[in-house]
Amino acid sequence: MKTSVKTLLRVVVLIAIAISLLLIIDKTSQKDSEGKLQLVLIQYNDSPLSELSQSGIEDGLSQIGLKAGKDYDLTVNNAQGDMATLNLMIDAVAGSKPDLIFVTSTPTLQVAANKIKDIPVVFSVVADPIVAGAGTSFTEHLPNVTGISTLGDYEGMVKWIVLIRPGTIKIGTIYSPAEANSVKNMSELKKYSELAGIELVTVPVNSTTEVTDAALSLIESRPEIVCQIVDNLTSSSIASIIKVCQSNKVPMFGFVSDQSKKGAVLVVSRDYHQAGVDAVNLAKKIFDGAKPADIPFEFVSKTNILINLKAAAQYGIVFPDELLKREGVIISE
Amino acid sequence: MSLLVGAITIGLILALLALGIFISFKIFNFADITAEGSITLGASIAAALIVAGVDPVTATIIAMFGGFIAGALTGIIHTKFNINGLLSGILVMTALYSINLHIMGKSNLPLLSEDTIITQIESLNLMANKEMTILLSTLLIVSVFGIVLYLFLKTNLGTAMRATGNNPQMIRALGVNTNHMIILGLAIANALIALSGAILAQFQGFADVQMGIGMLVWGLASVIIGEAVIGDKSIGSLIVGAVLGSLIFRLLVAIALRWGMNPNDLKLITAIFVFIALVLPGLSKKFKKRGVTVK
Repeated sequence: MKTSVKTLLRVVVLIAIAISLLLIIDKTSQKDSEGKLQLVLIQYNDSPLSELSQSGIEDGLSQIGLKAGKDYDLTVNNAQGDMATLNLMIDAVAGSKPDLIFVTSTPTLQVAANKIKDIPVVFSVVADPIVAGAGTSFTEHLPNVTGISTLGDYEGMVKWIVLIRPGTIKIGTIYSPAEANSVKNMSELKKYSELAGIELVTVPVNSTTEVTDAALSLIESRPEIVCQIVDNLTSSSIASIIKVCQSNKVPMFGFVSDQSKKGAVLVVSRDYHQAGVDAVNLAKKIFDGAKPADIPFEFVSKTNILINLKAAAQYGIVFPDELLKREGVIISE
Repeated sequence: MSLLVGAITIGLILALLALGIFISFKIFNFADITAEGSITLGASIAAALIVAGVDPVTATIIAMFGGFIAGALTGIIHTKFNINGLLSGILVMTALYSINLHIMGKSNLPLLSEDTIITQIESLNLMANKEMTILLSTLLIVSVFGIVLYLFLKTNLGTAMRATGNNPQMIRALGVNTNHMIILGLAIANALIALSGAILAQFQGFADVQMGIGMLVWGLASVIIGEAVIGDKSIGSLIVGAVLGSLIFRLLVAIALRWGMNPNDLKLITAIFVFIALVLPGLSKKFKKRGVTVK
């Protein structure tokens, strides 16, 4: 009996230490904000998309004339893919009462929307904020939430495919059924390609290790172009998709700008860096006194067309001159 | 101090997961990875039913039943087809991934504007503070399930189940079908885990098909932390240990979060904290022993 009292006492002490540590840290971390804007960026996992939008947010803040450390402090939090941690992280951020919270990716937006009611939340890298539950339309949404939807320009992509390779009847993509963004993007591409009379073949993939196999299986169904949609999983393993495409002589088109350098022939890109900049522009309206409730959701303001002529030559694709001279077209040799 | 309350609440919700993992890990001596599928199964069943307009309490109970079936399946694959326990769990977990996608119809189901257990508890207004109301209610739920589990493991059936893990030959000689015990045990374990997932989804406001990733590891960590600080003298101390282990673990994560370090270091710091929490009790014992000899 005596020992059980002792052990219980030990546990109580341990928990008490943990709680008091938390309280102490909380107290010490709340000072030194004097007049500076306290900003927080919360990410769900590590991916090229979240990194691009983070650099966009940092650049955007300097573009609106704010200096890091002098005018604002930006704290970056990353849940490293763990949902329970994400919940705690949002509690922690809410407790520190920042002036504004940036969030990237769908789960982060959802937890923030559920838990935070009195601090402005600006999202980006969310394909469909409506599906995520942040509102019923781009203008009717949760009062403290606004942000940038990064739904890809699928309509634009299909137009380019028809221009470059008229007569295309089958294209393919890999997608990740586990990601709300991915499924939404896939169905958008399907919608616009079917309107143009092009069949879209898809292969689902559940982990990065399966991507090469998925790409090989996609090639088996003989698409004329692999038109890879955007999601966290395939964007972090895009190199293996491009490799399979190259060895099978099927051109790869993409939606993320840095894929052009990696060997994608054509990239129609909602600029994820720009998504960060745009999020900052919405945030600026809030700094200036606007209510998030009155700021409608927006699409990313900039779409880039990136053409990799060297990759195009490998597949015998010739771009008509008038296309190369279009506005917003960036060419790499 | 909403982080503290939030950390304790999540710790309590995941204590149900820890209780489930305690059954498979401490009683049957294998890490049942079905947990990663069944926690999401619980979340997706509850979320899909709630969105379809089913009463949240009913939805949560059905979610538990879903976990029960998943666990039973792992048990059947393990015992009737003689497949290694870990692999049986992997098989069911893998299958559940697709099943969860089918249940929700998509990868992520928001519950932000739905009536859930959590909103129902909030509307009870038991305390001045909504967060405290939720915390106390989850504490109540965990206590009830912890006590029921304790009482169950003390019954004849429960004793036979524990004996199945300790000494299968002996218990078979007494005429108990060990296969049935394993199937029932894993079913109960995964029912608890699915309950944890159902409540977690309603607490965080959505179910996501990826939410189970890593959960087995955290559950095991909770059970082992609990064992280290409370000891494994009796079945009761193991159960209390699993719950407290989960609480301590989430508090440690909360401290790591509040530390304000480079976000890339989060998991490293978490690991170091857990290491310290595991080593500390042993160290204090050593010191005490030394103190006695000096006297």
